[in-house]
Amino acid sequence: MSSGADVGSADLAAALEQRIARLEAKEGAPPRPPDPKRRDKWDILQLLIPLVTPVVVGVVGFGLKDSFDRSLRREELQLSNVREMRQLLVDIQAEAVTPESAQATALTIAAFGRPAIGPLVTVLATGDEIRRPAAERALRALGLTDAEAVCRPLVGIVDNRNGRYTWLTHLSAWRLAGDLECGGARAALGRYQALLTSVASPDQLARLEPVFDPSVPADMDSVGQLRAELDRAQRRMGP
Amino acid sequence: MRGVTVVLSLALAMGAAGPAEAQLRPCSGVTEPGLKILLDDIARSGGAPSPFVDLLTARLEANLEQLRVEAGLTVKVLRCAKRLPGSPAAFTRPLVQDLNARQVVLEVWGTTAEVEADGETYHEASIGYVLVPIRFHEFAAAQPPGAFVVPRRAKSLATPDDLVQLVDQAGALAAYAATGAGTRLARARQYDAARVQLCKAQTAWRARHDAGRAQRLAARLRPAAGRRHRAGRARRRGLQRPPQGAARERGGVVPGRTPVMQPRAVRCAMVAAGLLLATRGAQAGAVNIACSAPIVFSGAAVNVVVLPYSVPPELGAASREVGTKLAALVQQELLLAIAKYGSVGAVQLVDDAGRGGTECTPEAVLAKLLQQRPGARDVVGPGRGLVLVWGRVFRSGDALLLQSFVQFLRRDADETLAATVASQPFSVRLGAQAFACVPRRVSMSDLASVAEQYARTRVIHDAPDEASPGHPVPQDQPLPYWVQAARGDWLQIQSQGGGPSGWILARVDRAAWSLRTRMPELSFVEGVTGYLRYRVGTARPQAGDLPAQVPGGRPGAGVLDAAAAAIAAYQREWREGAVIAEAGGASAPAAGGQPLAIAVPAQVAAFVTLLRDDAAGVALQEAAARIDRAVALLPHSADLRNLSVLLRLRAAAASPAAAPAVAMPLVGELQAALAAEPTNGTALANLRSLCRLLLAAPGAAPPRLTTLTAEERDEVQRQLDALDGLGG
Repeated sequence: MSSGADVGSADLAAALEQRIARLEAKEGAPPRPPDPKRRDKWDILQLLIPLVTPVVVGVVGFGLKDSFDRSLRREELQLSNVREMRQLLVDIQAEAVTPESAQATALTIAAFGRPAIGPLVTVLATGDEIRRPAAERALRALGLTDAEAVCRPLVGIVDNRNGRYTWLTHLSAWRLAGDLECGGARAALGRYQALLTSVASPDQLARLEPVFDPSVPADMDSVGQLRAELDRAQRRMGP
Repeated sequence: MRGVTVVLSLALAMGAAGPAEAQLRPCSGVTEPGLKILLDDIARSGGAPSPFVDLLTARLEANLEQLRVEAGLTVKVLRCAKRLPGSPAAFTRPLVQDLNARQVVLEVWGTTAEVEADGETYHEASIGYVLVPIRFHEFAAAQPPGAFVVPRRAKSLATPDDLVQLVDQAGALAAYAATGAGTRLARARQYDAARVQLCKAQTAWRARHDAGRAQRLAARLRPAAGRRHRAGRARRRGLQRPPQGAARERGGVVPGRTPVMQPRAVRCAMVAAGLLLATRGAQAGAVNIACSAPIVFSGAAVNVVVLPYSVPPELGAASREVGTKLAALVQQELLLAIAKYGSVGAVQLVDDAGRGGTECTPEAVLAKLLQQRPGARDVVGPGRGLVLVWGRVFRSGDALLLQSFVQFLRRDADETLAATVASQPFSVRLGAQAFACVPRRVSMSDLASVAEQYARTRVIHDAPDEASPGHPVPQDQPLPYWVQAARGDWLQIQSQGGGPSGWILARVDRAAWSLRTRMPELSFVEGVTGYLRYRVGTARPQAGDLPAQVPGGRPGAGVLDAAAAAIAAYQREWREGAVIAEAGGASAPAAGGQPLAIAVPAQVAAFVTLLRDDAAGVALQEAAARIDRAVALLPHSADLRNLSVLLRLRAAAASPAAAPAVAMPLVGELQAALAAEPTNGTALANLRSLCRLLLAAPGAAPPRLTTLTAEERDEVQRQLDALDGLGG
């Protein structure tokens, strides 16, 4: 009886051994012990970081500095522009200004590029019979090279319905928008045509009262001139 | 970068054009609202001094003053200091577009020069004109007609009259201004107003025998003729050019007491005098009243206010006082002349601008006296009359010219007159209530006479005798007074507020010199004051009137007689000493550049005739003949044609035998009036009444008026139907 029990235990042990062996065979060879000479990516990265960090910091720092420098230079240029333009703006507002001097001054202001657009639009909006044509001419000259920048405030003018600008300023703005082929003004053009269409006779002029600065009163002659300018602008801008 | 280069190149190109010879500077007043005329500086070219500069400036200013008074629409005249256009080419399209938008209708400038031609030296004066609306809208033309220069040349300065005529542009200015304004209004689709101005311009060009311009204007008129708007006609009220440099009175009286009146006392005195006038129908005067705080006698039916005459500065400080002295003499002369009407006042204003007062201008004084602006101590009451007299002395070579301006009105009342002919209602309206008198030549000795007479009249005597004891009128102090009596050339005055009282010599007539002969227009002022006195006294009381609705009582026919006589005197004597600028046409000897100086007195005289219920047919016919002469001068005036028709109708009614043989011309006359001025409501109503009258049954109207052919009756009926179709 006892031998029988011993045989059974031995079979069980053998079966277990086999199973263990199969399992081990199934799992593959046991892992090799680590090779002290081989390094993985992390090791390489860890090795490189101390080396790359100064470079990256240097490059980023250089970039930041350049950007900062450029920004600073732009600010300085802006300030310089203002300083330079200041005297020109004083000149164009002088009492003794003539058409010739006003145009020369306005064109010189225009030479400052984008920073000149604001002052020139202001002169366009507030100028008289001498200064306004000069500002318009200067903006046209500026628009030859940077039409998009000039067109943006023009659209703002013609879209204004709060009486901020006289109808003369609107007229100049449309003339410039047409000359500079301001594509962005097409939508405004449609709205403007609708506005003018609503004024067919003198008794409907009241509709324009909130639109224009009343310092230069609009009448049917004004409406006619605006219509003509609008048609011209539409032809130049295309469909 | 390329853009900057382009722009800089353009800027350099502009700069390379060099310093501009033309100094076309901005005109600061151009932003003011309303129609405007710009008068630039008068330039002297060639460097040589030219006596034309002052002459040209003075003439242009006088011409513009007249234009402002007579334009028939509110036109501001702005001086543009240091603005010297070099030539018409300076007026580029953008510049003119701006001016056009700002309602500038005309810009005028001038240059003078000495030029050599054929071995002789000539003085050349050039006057440049820019008719802004025409310049702008016809810019595409090869030679835009809206800007041009009119050169005039004279060999010497020895004949001032020639020079005055040479540079006198009164007629031309009126024509240019009317053309510019008419074009501007037509473009703005204000067709009725445009039509009136363009008709006026056409008349002016015809008078100047410029048929080409007249035809072009007629062509311009046609599109406007087809459109009619029935908007109300804007009435002209505003005016005027500031008398400049009038000085305060400082001397010229005999030593004596100089009682001083305080402002409060002056006001009390004015109130007292006003009440007195209201209750007694008396006359009152006031001298040395500050222009910045003008007064009238509010109780008086009519006040005459005399502003200081402006004088050229080159006459010197002492001579400038002549302007004030002349106004003082005019006030006293007028007070003496109008005292007979009763309930009248005469006030002399002095320029106090140098003493902190405001500018002494007719428009400012008028606005204050009519309560449109604060500043007057006493104002013209509703329905009361006011006559404003002002003027200027200006130099012309060695001679001086004196030009007066007159404006008259009743406050809040239209100067219309209603009449009934054969049961049909008719009405007429005065076409103008302000005009520039014809300039008159005066000499330095005349000015010396003014100073001398001023000294004699500024003494209050104890008796109406210059030998009697006297004391001077207070200098520089307001002195209101009422007139107690008039004896010959003397007025007995009772000062109010504690001032001196006694007799003043109101008029110093000498064989050699008399103010009235130097200024015949004073007769018109006398006449129109009588006319106003009658109208105020006979007007129906309105609600809200003062208790004394008819100050001084209802005037009788004697007032009309006196007014008619005074106006007739003016019509007889207005040519005395007048310097009439030849307009180059047949009308020149009759009118020169001042047609209203004939037309307005003729209208007032006609009104005086119509005011008589018992006006004789002959008198009405004579008045109609005078109005017809005025129509020839001002064919665009609908009111004149209207008046002519009513006078003929009244004449026909008064003397049926003298009635016109053909009635249809009267219809044609009113149609012509309406063609010139479609919005003239009185002419429209009269045409309707006339048609009804002509179609009336025989016996209902003067027989020769109703004797129409069948065709004529049909035409009148069609006209009436058309008028009835208009409604109203």
